[in-house]
Amino acid sequence: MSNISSSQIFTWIERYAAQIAEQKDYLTQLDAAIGDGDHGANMHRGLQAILVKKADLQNTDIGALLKGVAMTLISTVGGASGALYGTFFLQASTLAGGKTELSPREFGSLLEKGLAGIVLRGKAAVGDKTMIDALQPGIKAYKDSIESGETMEQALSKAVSAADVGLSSTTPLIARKGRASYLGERSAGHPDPGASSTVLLFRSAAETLC
Amino acid sequence: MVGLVLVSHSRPLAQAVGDLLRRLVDANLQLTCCGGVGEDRAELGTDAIEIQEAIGSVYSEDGVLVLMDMGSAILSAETALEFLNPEQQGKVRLTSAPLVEGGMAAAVQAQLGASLVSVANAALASLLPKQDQVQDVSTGAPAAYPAPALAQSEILEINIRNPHGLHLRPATVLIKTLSGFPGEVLIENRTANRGPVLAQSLVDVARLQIREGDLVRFSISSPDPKPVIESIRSLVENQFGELAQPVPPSEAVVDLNVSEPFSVSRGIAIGRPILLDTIVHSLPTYAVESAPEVKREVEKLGSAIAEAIAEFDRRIERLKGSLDRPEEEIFDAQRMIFADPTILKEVQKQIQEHHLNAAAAWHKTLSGYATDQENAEDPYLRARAADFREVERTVLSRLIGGGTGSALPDQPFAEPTLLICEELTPTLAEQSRRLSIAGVIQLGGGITSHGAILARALGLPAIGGARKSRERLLSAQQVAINGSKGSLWIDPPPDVLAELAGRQQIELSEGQAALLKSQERAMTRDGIPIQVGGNAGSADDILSARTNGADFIGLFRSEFLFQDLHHEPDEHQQLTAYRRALEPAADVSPVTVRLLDVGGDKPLEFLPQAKEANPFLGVRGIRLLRANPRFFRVHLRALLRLAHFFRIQLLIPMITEVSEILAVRELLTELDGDLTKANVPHRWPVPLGAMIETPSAALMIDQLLPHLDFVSIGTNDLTQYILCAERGSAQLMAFSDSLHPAVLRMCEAVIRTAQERGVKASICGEIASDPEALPILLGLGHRDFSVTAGAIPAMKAMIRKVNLSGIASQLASKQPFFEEASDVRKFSRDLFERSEN
Ligand SMILES: Nc1ncnc2c1ncn2[C@@H]1O[C@H](COP(=O)(O)OP(=O)(O)O)[C@@H](O)[C@H]1O
Ligand SMILES: [Mg+2]
Repeated sequence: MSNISSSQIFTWIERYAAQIAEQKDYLTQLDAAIGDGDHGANMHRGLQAILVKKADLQNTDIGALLKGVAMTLISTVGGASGALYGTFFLQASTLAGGKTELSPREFGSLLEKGLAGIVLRGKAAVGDKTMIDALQPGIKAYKDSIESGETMEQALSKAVSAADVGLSSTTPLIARKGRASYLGERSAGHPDPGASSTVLLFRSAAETLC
Repeated sequence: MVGLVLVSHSRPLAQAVGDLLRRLVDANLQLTCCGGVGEDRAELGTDAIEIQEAIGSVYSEDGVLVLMDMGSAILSAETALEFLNPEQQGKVRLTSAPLVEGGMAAAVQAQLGASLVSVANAALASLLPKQDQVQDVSTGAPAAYPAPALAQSEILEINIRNPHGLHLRPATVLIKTLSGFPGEVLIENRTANRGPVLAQSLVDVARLQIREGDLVRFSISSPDPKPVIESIRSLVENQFGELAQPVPPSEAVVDLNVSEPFSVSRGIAIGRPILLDTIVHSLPTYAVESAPEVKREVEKLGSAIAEAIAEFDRRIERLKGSLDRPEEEIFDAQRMIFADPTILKEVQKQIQEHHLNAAAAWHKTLSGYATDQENAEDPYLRARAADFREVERTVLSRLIGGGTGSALPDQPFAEPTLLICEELTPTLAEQSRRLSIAGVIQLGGGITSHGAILARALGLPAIGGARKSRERLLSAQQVAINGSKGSLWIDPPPDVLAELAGRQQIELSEGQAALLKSQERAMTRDGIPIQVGGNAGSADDILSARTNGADFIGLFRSEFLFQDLHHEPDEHQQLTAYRRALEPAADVSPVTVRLLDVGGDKPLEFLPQAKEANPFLGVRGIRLLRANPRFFRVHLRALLRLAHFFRIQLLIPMITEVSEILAVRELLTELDGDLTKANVPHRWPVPLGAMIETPSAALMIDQLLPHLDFVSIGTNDLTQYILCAERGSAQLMAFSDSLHPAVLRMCEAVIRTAQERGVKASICGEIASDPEALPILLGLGHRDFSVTAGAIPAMKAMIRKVNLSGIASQLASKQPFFEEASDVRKFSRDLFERSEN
């Protein structure tokens, strides 16, 4: 099975930026229902800032690249998602220092490390109506698939569907973390914007990493 | 200084909070604000990198506290923390405190130079004052009532008939009675659907809010339920003892016969009554986090409660004979609140789970209960809130004031206020001026307690012995006292009020006239000059003595200078303190400085004393000084040095026999040698005198005089020692009168012997300022007095009216027949009437 190169990783982020740009208004709309209506704008601002640094980020190892992505998200997104996605990439970067290639299995470990960072930072769990509801099942599906010897392509498409299921599971939930938690009962009946942007993260991976 | 970082989604908000703190607290705070993202940081959001840099910009060894608004601000701040180097990480804390309130509390502490932990704790506790005021946070009252299931219980359902329902007093009776049976009883208010609760906690039972007519279910689980049921039935039937004794009506009626208060300090005061126990204290704000800290707070609470109970029991013991039954039951109820298991559990929970310090936790819980009571519809129940407040304060003053009961508000009262307290302590009297308290009503109290003396010195109107009116005082809107007569009016009608206000005006202007005349020396009508000095304990007192016309300072009490010190002051500190205090006396001389007189009811923190069964008969005055030779030497050295700057004479307190005077003289001579050798400016000899305040000293006066330059009769202590009656006891009032013939006989002997030997003898007790006592004392031959500043003008005016010739002979013929103080007083009044006509 072929490895993932650092340029592929950057392409993944570029693709993600494009999808966010496309879905920006939708995400914002979701956030308007249960939060403060800025998730799309937040993410878009962060990812555009990454694109500006393209020249610097493209010619480095995967560790440095992910770290650059992380720091940019942290300092430009502004919302909870900035600190959280930032932490995700920052933690992931720690396993990729000096590497220019990642095996599918290594990539899975990176995702897991990132997830652990988000959990540690946000103290949320599955069922709290956050991005974790999509991220956690997505990563699990990916890992399970790779473990059972399936291809990168299969693993990533399974990850997308699992994340999607996770996303729909957030709709009836009452938010217990982040800004939406101030809404209490009123947050039920809408999908979580962060979970929605997470599905896009998997989707762009599926489109670029295999 | 601990640095502060404010983080908000909105940059203008963070900046505005920063601006607020700089303006309200200090412009030089180490403070920086961050927030906003995107271009010009105009978008809402937070940036971990910016926060990291902000931390760096205010970072020092003292540490940094980060306050945030919400959501991502927290996440960003946490992320920022991760970017710091490990050494810095250890000194940066994030706090969950609210941005504005927490910022204020933190800024104040930081500006004071407090440690990071204290700053953080202050921030965490910053919502308490607001919650206390708004009263919207329940004090952890259990949302659902615990309903333990009892095996095989007998049920009794019965309607409660007490007009005020099952409030504290009957609930106390119920719990007490039931505790006498084996097994357990659950109580449930079926009418209001509250409960069931176990019949063991007063507050649990009170929470059932059982009113008159409510159907109450008792579930009795006992090996022998019959007698239990019987007793409950009979308790309900006789209305828990309230049937025989109807509860006093809650509407206050003016009935002066009910109370028998007495005069403590002259002057008329009118205002709103405030029970000391209801005053909100300034609570410590530190939080307890670690397990050992929590343990320590819980222990602290435990011992404070235990001490408070012990003190409470002692007080009840003292009061016993004079209490009526309903009063006794009120005390029973209070006693139960102290030991209530539910309250204790709640307070401990506040400490363990909400990290409150013991004082804050106790206050929060108890004042919660008090508020619940205050919100009751029934005015009688409302008055019960005071029981919780009283219990609250008793324990709080131990937790905060180190047992001195000095937990008082920071701000003066806005309207004229009369303070109601058990007994006027020196601290209270002192603070009353700062708090603009118009007058004081003591429920118990005496007239020669130190608090009472201070009140007179401060011109603070006060009465004592108002216990019987306590209930009505609690619900009164306005009260008035006449401190000169010891009268009390509760919600006086307009005409009485108008008259009182008029009198108040007249007294004030009479006082002013007397003040003017008081600047001159006083002479009796028949031309005998009388010396009137002032007693003082501070620079303020000396000033006040001077404005009131003191001819000299006849007694400067050293203890007031040292009272607030926790550590032993060294020679230099003492000298400085004395010099500062005596400053206003530079040209009224001499000043008689009494050596530090502690022990008894005036303990000092840095001269710890073993517990004595009877401190007044224990190691006090010169006895204590000699027991602490190192401190004593320092003290005397400071005084000898003080003598270089002021014309002072030294007065030894609590002398019992000659050997003590000799010892002091010897020590002074030795110290004089030391100081001379070391070339330190000082003066010795200075006149040395002794307080004559023990019967022994009075009886042995002929032996003492050869070693003394003057004596000063301390009639307050002398009276209590001669008559064997405690100073503060309201019940022994008759024996606290220094005009008792036994006291007069002793004073007369002292003054006669002193005059024979040509040694000056003065009286520095309170009695001299009593208009009825003055002619008697003059008649006995006294010519020198020293009294509290406020009394000087009236006393000089009085002296000017007295015709001495004649008094002495009349007194001599009557004196052998005086049997009690009232005989002497009657004689004095007759004297006056005769001389007036
Ligand atoms: N504590 C948390 N743990 C995990 N995810 C969180 C947490 N708080 C918020 N989120 C995610 O962040 C999303 C909101 O992001 P965004 O709108 O950019 O931030 P903000 O809530 O600060 O406006 C939510 O939909 C949720 O998925
Ligand atoms: Mg949002």
